[in-house]
Amino acid sequence: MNRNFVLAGLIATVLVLAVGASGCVGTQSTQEKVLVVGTSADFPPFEYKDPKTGNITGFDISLIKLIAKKIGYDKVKIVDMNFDSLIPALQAGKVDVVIAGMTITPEREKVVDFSIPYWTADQAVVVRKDSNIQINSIKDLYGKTIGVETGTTGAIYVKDHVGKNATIKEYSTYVAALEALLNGQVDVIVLDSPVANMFVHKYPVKIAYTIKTNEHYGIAVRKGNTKLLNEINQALKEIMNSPQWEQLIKEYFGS
Amino acid sequence: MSGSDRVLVVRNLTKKFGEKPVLRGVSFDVERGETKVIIGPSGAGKSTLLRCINRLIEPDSGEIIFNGENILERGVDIRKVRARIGFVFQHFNLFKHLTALENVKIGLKVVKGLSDEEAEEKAYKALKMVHLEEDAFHKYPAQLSGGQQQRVAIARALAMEPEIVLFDEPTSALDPQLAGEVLDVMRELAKKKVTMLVVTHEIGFALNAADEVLFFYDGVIWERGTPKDILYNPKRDETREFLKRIADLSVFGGE
Amino acid sequence: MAVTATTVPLDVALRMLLNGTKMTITLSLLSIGLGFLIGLPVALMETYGNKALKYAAMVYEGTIRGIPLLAIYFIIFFSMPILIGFGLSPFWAAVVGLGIRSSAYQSQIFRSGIQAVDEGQIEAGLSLGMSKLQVIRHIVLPQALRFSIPAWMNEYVIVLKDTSIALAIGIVELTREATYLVSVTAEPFRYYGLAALFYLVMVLPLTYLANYMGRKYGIKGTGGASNVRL
Repeated sequence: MNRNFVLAGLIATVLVLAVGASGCVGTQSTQEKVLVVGTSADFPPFEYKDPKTGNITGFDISLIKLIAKKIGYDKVKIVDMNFDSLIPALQAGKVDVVIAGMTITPEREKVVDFSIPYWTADQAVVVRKDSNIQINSIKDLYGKTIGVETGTTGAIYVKDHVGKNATIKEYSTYVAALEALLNGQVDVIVLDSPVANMFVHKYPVKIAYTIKTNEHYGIAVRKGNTKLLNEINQALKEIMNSPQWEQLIKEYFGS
Repeated sequence: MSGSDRVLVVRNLTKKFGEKPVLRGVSFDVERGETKVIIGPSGAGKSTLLRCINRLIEPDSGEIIFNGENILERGVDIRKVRARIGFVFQHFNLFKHLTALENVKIGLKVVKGLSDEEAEEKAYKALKMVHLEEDAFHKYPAQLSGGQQQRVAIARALAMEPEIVLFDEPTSALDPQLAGEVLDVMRELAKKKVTMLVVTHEIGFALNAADEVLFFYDGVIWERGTPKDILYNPKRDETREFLKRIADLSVFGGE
Repeated sequence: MAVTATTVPLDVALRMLLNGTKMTITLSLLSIGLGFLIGLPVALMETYGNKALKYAAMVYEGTIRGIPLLAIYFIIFFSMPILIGFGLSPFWAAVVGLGIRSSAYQSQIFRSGIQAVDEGQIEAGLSLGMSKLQVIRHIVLPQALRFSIPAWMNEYVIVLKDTSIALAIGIVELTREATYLVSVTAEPFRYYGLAALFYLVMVLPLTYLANYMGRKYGIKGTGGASNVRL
């Protein structure tokens, strides 16, 4: 056994760990004023990684950059993580704001503060193209096997309104839910309409019904961070009343 | 012989395992250059007795005087004592990850602090002394026959230049042919006046190599004497009974 | 970017996946190393320690193995700063979380390795005059570590795959890069398939490495650590 090799490896590991621990960082830079933004970059066109540039971009990202500039930040640092981790990250001070196509809900409002709504979305019920499932109301989902992404508004909505009348299968991503639909493991999937629109262009699926949930997307800040919240609200209002807003929509929704 | 020639003096040694007394006051001496053989029924505590002598097992009471020093006293560095007492086990107990040569070297290097060259030289000599075939020097225990393994184990003990070597049924795990090559080595050692204390069932070895034979029975030395006295002319019934059983067994080729 | 899904050139996609692979490898190597540094002493404590040490090691092992990795990450990354006002960067939180989790499994691996060294050899070492520590170092560990190679390689593969859970605290590795590609292209089969291939390429050499180490360091004549399967 090459003991020296093992020993050298161990020492190297200890050193690296020690250096890493001592260099452990907060989220604030001392020089520049940096806004640390949490998002979950698998939700195009709101947030995604652009393969061409390698940067995380999207409607939300451009919006938060405009806001940050308006309220006096030099830089925006984007931190990508699981959607489920965003609120804990905000609470733990790992990020300053969250913008992630996040619907304002009473549950979330208990733990974070939301800006004024900047987007209204609905939930789409998607079926396979060759399917003859007809959905004309929520009740038509009874008895079906429904796929949703864990923790999303769609998941919460289906649980609240269909609940035990159907079989609900949860997936960790939208795409996993889509695969399940294509494989026939579920009859329908329920998800945010912008994502559903994208799927329809690429896959043999169609939107069978749109649930008018009137979900409002908001920007989340730590509870009690009133100063930042007010600044964001002020900036949002200004942007939404300016030509910049139309440009943003054109850029990311193409119409 | 004068008292100073006693390598080992055991006095009133006792040991209980739970409530079961295994040693009930064992006393005997081993003179320098002597070969002393202990015989007795299996499971009677002969192994325990040997293990008490180098304190692999702690005795309950009594004295073990090794070279004039009671090694059961507090403050004795038992490691130094063990380095001067060789031990040969029934199941060889070679270090499986080391070659024959390395098995002999490791004690010299780790315990005695010899350089690699010095250890190698001594190990070679020791392996020659037990007539290990040269092509076996660099083989691993699992590649050696039982007889070879036990001879390596004897070399490992001898290389430390011990003042006494304890043998715990060194041939009872070997078939008769392989036992023969080990016994030959032990007879040579006896001729060379290596001090040995041997627990064995090999009556032939006791007869032609031992200076004294001890019959261990019921936790004590039941009877002792010259090999001829004990083996041909035992005084006590239990000794006779035991020898008769051994003789019966050997008709069928030993154990 | 319109709502319609785009296509991504293969070289761009491969570059993204390769980037993720770098993180996966770095994170997994540091984690398995930290797990080794903690796991081996825990195994020794559990085998040779006094009652208190044995108990402490058992509690440690049981507790860590009872907590899901995600919860360990959350505790280290999100709860620690709130509780003690001191936190680690996402990367180091991931290393520590994965390392601690692995240590509990590695200690188990090493414990069975240690127990596989027969008592007779320990007696033989002691009889030569070695101290308990010398016996552990020269007799027990060289064999125990070899016995542990197959299970340890297996543990490394598990750690490698579990790096993806660190996304919860903001670590972007191979799986996440694949998700990026999938979410803009809506082509899960293609990009998760490619990612799977990358994982395979990382894992396959380990099988060979394990076999090689088995041949090179295995205990001759015993079969020992050779013939490893992952």
